[in-house]
Amino acid sequence: MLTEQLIFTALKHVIDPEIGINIVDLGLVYDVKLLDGGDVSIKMTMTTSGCPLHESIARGAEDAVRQLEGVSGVKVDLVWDPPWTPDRISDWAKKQLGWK
Amino acid sequence: MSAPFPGSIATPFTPPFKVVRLYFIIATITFVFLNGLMLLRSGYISGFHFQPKLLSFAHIAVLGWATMIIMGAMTQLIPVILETSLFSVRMAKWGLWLYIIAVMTITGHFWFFATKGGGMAMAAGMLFVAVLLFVINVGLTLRKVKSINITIAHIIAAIVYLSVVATMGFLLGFNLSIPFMKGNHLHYLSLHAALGFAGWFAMIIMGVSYKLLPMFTLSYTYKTWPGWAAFSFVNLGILGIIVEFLTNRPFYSTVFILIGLIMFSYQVILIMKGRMRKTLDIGLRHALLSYVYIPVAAILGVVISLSNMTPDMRQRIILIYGFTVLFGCITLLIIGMMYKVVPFLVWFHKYSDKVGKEKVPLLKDMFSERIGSIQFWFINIGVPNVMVGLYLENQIIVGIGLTIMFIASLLFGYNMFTVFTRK
Repeated sequence: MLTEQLIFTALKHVIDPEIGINIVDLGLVYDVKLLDGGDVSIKMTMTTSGCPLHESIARGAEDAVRQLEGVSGVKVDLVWDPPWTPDRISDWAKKQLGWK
Repeated sequence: MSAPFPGSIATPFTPPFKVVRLYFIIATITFVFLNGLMLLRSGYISGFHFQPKLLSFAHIAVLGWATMIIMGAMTQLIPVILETSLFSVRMAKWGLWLYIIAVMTITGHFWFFATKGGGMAMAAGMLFVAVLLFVINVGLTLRKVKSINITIAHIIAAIVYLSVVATMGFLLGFNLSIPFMKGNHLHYLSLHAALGFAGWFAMIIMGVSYKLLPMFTLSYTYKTWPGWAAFSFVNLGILGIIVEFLTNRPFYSTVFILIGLIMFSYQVILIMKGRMRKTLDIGLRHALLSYVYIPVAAILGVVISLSNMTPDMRQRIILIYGFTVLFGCITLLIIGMMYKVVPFLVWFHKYSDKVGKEKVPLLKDMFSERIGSIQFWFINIGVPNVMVGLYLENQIIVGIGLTIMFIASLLFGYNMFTVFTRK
């Protein structure tokens, strides 16, 4: 059964190619909503603004969720407010980035 | 808090990948060729700096390697920074071919010191036109800038200095074929070299570092005043160089440049202190090492300009200074940034559409980090080795250093080849 948790798991397969960490653990995904009829709404951001790598990651997020069974449509909103801050990085990701 | 120098390195405004790729491939081949040539003809890297083979080495390094990479990177980066299209992709493409022919012609003329018959003047003229095409293309793209940030300020300054350096180079080349300048040719040459190093290269190194270093290290919270202070001091120093040239009176220009570059080092330290990515990859390790060489080169510049030395010692220090700037400061930073930018460009071209649909490689998977690491240590040993050899005037030590550097260039060339030919 399609759940928001399952959607988050799918988004963990979208990895920033430079940093090598998935967008969920980087704290880029602000909100995921499972709507009626299998529609999914994702609100996400990027570490810095204004580049199509961002678009390719956003499109990657859309494609990753679209592959889930039961999903009929995906809408990704790229937002810059509130801006991303390093506080959003998960403990696991911090470890990957070399934090002791 | 948002990043003081935010951004990324690819947008819909960037020129076609195949155009930018050419700059990087040809410059990498030139780098390997240069290291091989220096090794085979290492005996020429000694004595007085104004001699044919040294002029040829220096111009292959600054034009065929460093400036070509910077031109390619700027063709890619400026549209990104400004979020606008490059003024002319065609100009970038054809300008590059003219530039390649011009660099080959002029360095060949330097090598054989073929000053008779106007060939040198023609080569200098061709190079001047090629650089001018680049300057016009970037200048007309920069016209669309809405606000000046620290990187844009450095790029504008660098482009102005490049124009002056290219004009002086053209006049000097012309003067070698058809003498017309009053006074000593070397007096003009010293201004040409000083503006090239402190103007064109320093401004680019500083400006690009302020853009890329925070982006690659995820550094977001740091003060930016040292960057602006560095900009002011280095430009004051360059103004001093021009005053010294015109009046023959000391202006302590190299001291101002040293202070500026120390402020730059402080800015780099602040960026690195605030970084979220603690682990340093191969690209950043190269870049950080180049930042160590920058104050070293600046101190050598002060020593050359202000201290009383025997002519022999002065020549040695000038050679070490030139070598440090070219291979310590500029080359290490370029290699470091190429390990970051080239894999990204190839990745973006090949895999950006596949994210989320299938497993795509990480940027660090695009080349061998192990080979990169070995290459890092080879160059890390090779450069100081040559510097010591030049100081001791020991050709064996210089030769060993150049052998190590040549191996490093081969390893680097192999890694870049791996990235470019990735299926």
